[in-house]
Amino acid sequence: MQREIKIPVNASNIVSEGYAYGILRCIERVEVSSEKKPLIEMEELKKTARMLEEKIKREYGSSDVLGEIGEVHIMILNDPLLWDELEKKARDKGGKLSLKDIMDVRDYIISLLLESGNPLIQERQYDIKDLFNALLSGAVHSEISNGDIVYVDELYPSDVVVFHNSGVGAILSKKGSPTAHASILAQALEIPYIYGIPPLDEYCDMRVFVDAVHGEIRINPSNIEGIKALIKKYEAEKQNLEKYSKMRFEGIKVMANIGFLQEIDVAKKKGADGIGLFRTEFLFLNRTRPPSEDEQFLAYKKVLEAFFPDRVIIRLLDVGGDKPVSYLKLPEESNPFLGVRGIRALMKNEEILKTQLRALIRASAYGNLGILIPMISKPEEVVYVKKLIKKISESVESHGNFAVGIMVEVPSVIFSIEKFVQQIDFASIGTNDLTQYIFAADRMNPEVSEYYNDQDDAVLAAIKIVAEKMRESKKPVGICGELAGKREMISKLMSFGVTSFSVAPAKVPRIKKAVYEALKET
Amino acid sequence: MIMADTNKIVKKIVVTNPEGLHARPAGKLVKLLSGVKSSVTIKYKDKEINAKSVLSIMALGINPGEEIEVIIEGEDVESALKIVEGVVCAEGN
Repeated sequence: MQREIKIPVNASNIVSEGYAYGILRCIERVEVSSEKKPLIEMEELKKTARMLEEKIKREYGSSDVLGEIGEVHIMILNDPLLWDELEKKARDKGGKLSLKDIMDVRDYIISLLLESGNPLIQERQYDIKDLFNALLSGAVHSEISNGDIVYVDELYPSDVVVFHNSGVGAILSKKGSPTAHASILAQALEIPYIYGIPPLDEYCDMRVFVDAVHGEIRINPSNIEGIKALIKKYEAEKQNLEKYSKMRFEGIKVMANIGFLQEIDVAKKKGADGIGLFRTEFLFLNRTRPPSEDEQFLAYKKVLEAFFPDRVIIRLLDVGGDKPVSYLKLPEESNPFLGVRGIRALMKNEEILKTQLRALIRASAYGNLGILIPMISKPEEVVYVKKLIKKISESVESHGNFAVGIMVEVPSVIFSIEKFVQQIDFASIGTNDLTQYIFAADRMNPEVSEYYNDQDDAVLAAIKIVAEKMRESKKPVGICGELAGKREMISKLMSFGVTSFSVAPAKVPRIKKAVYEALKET
Repeated sequence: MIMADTNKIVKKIVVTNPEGLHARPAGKLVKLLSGVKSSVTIKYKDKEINAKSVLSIMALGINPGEEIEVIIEGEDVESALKIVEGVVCAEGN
């Protein structure tokens, strides 16, 4: 029996939840060689494109999400820019194209998308690669059988369709993003999928257990019976989860964490009682200028309207030296997690903060807004932000009521929580960073992973202190870290006085079930 | 500002779709314009592109709050303009 190897996975890289156990297949993409196809007639390429279009219609036509993505692919296949570029190349060569010509056009189009500076558009490069692959070679995948676990470097939308049809158990990839088309498809087709996995070359064709619920990969797992029972139980539960997503509870909310406008629909569908954490980094990262007040206002308004009358908690920009943003003044630091981040970075970039606050205050007229201040460590920081808010509110023509709260993630806040309570309307405990600061253990560093435990008594004691003080003042306190998604902890956290749990949209029904069961016990 | 002779419209429009003219709205625009006979050009900064090409629109990466100029020429300019404004000025979907 071979030794069991555990590979920890960052739970935030889980795109589609579930468990799977099977043989690990490392998929190599077949490179199209130029020897096979010396020159391709323009007419032949057009014919292939039409055939591909028919194939997409057949394979993607079945469901809403699939159909939408298929539509985009057909649109790209018919795009005038693409054919103009191909025609240009062919004109010099009597209507024929070499493989290099075609790849040059592909790379030119990808370069245009990358230059857009928008991450959602940049992700469409995988759709382009996918389509060119299909145009040139057709089938890409070697033998995959029912129940296999597949590993790919980059995941393309058509891969997911093929994997779904062959009954793949789970997908792992090196590169990826939660908003790529392939990810949306994996969710819609309910195939467990995690990205950001380092190459697993040495484990190809071995048995593997994928835990895309908590985040772990086990090569040669030892307790196979236990795993099979776990998968069976999970699948059985999945069948009757829908009724929980529609439930609402007195005094306890199950909300969603989102980071893109595109996640609004799934959060609503899964039954979130509002948004417990709307990360605004997507508006600010990967660009050379900060977003305008109007751009921000429109985004905030959209999410507020979508969930009205439920609350939407929007967190102010939370970045530090680990994610450099060209237009932000941030010092070079040897230890960015203990440096200028969150509110500290915003105070050094006051114009950015003021613009964001102004956009939020304007948007407050359209819903039930909570403004969340990240990385608070001293009461003075709250005073400073509230003063700014007051000043800006007076200059904004029309705005609604809104609440102001803080992230509880720096231990200093726990031990002086009474200094904060009167100044804030709500608190949100970010258990990921809190745990990392309590144990002085970087959660991304595998060398110290044994120190990082968000279920440890030390973390729970900290939560209890905050929850009790907030309860005395009748103010809500939520948890928005990974801990809120751990079903077995819900009942205990509720007993401390926690009033809301905010989790990834896919986890909402399960956490609602846990809340329902905890309420039934008492 | 609208300058219209019989079948040409030039109009400046501010993008208020909260997703800008990114992937989803770009696709929606191209899909709706596929039934239009007129040519539709979008001018943004120093670039001019064919609004019936989803790749060209996406490449511009137009954010909400920014201004574009549309130039529509042909036999059904009015309905083409309606489609463009419907997507560019949508409050989301």
